[in-house]
Order: sequence, then structure tokens, then C-alpha cells
Amino acid sequence: MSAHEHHIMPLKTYFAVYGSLLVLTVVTVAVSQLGLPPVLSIVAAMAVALVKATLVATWFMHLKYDRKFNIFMFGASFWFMAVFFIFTMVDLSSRDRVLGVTGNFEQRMDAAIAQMATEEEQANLSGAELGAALYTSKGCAGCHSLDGSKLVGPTFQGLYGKTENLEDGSTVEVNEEYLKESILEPMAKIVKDYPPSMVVAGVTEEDADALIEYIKTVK
Amino acid sequence: MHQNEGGAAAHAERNPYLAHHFLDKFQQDDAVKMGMWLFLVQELLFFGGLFMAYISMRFFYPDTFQEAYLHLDWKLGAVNTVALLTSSLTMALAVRAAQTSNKKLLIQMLVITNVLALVFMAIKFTEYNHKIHEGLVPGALYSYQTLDPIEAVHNAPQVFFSVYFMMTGVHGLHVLIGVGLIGYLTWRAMKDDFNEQNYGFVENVGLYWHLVDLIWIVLFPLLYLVK
Repeated sequence: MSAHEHHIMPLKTYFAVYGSLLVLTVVTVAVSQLGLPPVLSIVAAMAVALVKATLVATWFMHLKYDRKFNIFMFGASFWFMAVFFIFTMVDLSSRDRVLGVTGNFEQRMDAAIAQMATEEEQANLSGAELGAALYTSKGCAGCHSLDGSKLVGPTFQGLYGKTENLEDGSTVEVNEEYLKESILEPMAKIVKDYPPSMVVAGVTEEDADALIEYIKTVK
Repeated sequence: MHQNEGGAAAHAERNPYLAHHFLDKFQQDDAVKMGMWLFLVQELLFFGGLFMAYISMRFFYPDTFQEAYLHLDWKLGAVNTVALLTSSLTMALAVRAAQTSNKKLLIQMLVITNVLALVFMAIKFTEYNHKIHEGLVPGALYSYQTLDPIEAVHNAPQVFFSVYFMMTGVHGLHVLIGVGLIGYLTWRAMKDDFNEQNYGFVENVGLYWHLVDLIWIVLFPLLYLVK
């Protein structure tokens, strides 16, 4: 049996293997500096690592001259690692498709964190401040100016407390009740000379209260 | 045993390196070596779990892992790679010296192997130290803040560093155990315990040491190089 002979390798074999390992180390560093796309970069690095590992196992660990059973055991551990890796990766890569979500986990985490930050910011605001944020985020600014200029809708400047002429000839005092109705049900009362074109989406009663507080401050 | 005058004549010729429960030295060497390979197999499977942890964390946090190279100096990793590769060579030469009963060379090679192992650990120590100062150790010590706009988007290097410290930490522990084993080998070699009839222990520690090198061969590109 080969294991029973004391196989002593020539010195030059050891130095040749060592030289190859050093060269391959330079190769793997050089390849990493090329700026390859991530997947290619990993595949290249692992290919070089596998060659290096094979050199170490074959010559430094004398597997070439070892009993076949030891070679079989060592090979089996690579086989079982491959089974472990492949099945876990199949699971990881098919989860998103099963759940029907898009974007990778990290992007979804980032989006969730950004959303939480916005919500927290708004929760810390009160009354007029929140109203000011909503004025922009809900799109009020598109039609209602703050400086008195006439856009699609009436300006917010000096709006609170003044008396508006309505389309049907009646008048109304701009108070909290009227503003709330106009925000939540825009078509209930239409101001004279303005088109009935206001659209509201996703404005809650709390949002309306905050907007009213804000409108009071615009003078 | 040798002082036992009442022993049979056959026992007087018994190989002093042969344990009583083996038939002959070949059987003993084969059995010990197979045990060593079985141990190495479970070592590989053990590190396999850590590699899978790396793969799945990289799968979940691709951007964080791609930016992690900003925190690691590949030059230090490369120096450590050369140190371990060289120590693997000297370890292989030590086994060869034992096989050829060259006591002086065996001791020299073992000492050089251990010096290189300590160089590896010293560099690892400075790297760890640097990361502790940067607040990059996950957990209570974590305090890392960045002004870098690329990093600020995904300021989650702790995800990478949990994997980094686990993998390099367990590997470093193996290096330290190797230093202890090689030190013990050196002591035994000085006591003239190893020769062409009895080098199995040197060979098996050598196998362990090569496996530690082999794992670093994979760790180095994964942690330091892949972007």
C-alpha cells in the first residue's frame, strides 16, 4: 500500500508549489483591482482560491500519496458543502419570487427606514408646522399661493377670517368649519370666479386640522 | 515496560513508538492519520457554515458588502497571506526533516513556522485594534458614524463586520491553537522524539496547519478583495 512507503518528496517540488501559490496570490490581488462586476469578481477570486487550495491539499498535505480512503473523505466534505451551499442559495434566490416582492432586501430595508424617518418627523411636528409640511407634500402648493397671487385656486394669504363670495351668489365667512369642509369635500362650496377642479387624495381629518392651523398663520 | 525483565523476548523487540493496542506501526500510523483527516473534514464543514453565513448576508446586503472594502486594507491581508503560505512551506519542510531524521532542520523549520504564525497574529491584532478604535465592532462597542456620502446611504457596515469578526476570529483562534501545537512539537523535537520511524505527530500537526492556511486562502479574497 502506498501509505506504507515513506514517500519523501524532492525539495524542489515544495518550492515549486510555494512559488505557484505566491504567483496565484499576486494574480488574485491583480484581478480584484480590475474593477470587474461583483459576480465576475467573486467567481474569479474563488476560482483562483480553489486552485491554491488544491495545490496545498495535493502537495503540502501529501494527499497525492495518501490512502484513497482519506482522499475520499476529504472530497466528501467538499461534496456536502456544495449540497449545503446550493440548496441554501436556491432557497435565498427564490424567496422574493414566491413572496412577489421586487428589489433586493437591502433596498427594501432602506425604503422602509426612509418611510419611518418621514413618519417620525411628521409625528414630532404640531399644528401649523405639520400643516406647512402637508402644504407641500399633499400638493396644495400647486394651486394655492402664499403671496396673494391668483393660481388655479384662491391664495392662502389672508384667507382666514375674510368673507368669500360663492358661485351661487351667497357669501361665507372663512372659519375653521368652512375650511374643513372645503378641504375634505372640495365641491361643497365653490368660490366665485374659480373652477370646481380641486382634487384631494389621502388627506385625513387630522391633516385638515393641521392645514387649517397653517392657513391661519399665512397673513 | 523496558525495565520489565519478566517480559517475553518478543516484547523486547517491540517498537517503542507502538501503542499496545495496535498490531504494528503501519496500522497505528494509518489509524491516527485517518482520525486526523476525519477531524479536518468536520473543520471544513464547520467553516462551511460560516462561509454560508457570508454568502447569505452578502445576498441580503449586497451594497453594504461591496462598500466594506473601504474599511479593510488589502495590503495587510496580502502580507498575512504571504506569511501563512510561507509558514505552510516551512511546516511541510519540517515534516520532511522529521521523515529524514534531520533534527536540527526540523527544529529550525518549526521555529520559523511559529514566528510566521506570530507575525500573522500581530498584523491581525493591529487590524482589530484599528477597527475597535473606529467603533466597527458590532454590539455595545459599535459607534461608527460616517460622512462619506456613498457609505451614508447604506450605513450598515456592522452587518459585514459581524461576519468579518466571526470568520477571522475563529480562524485566528485556530492559528493560536496551531502556535501551541507547533511549540509543543518543537519541545518534543528537542527531546529527540521524532525520526524517520516516528514522525506521525509532526505530520498530523502539519495537516492541521495546512488546513488553517487553506481556509485563509479562501477568506482573504472574500473579505479583502471582492468588491
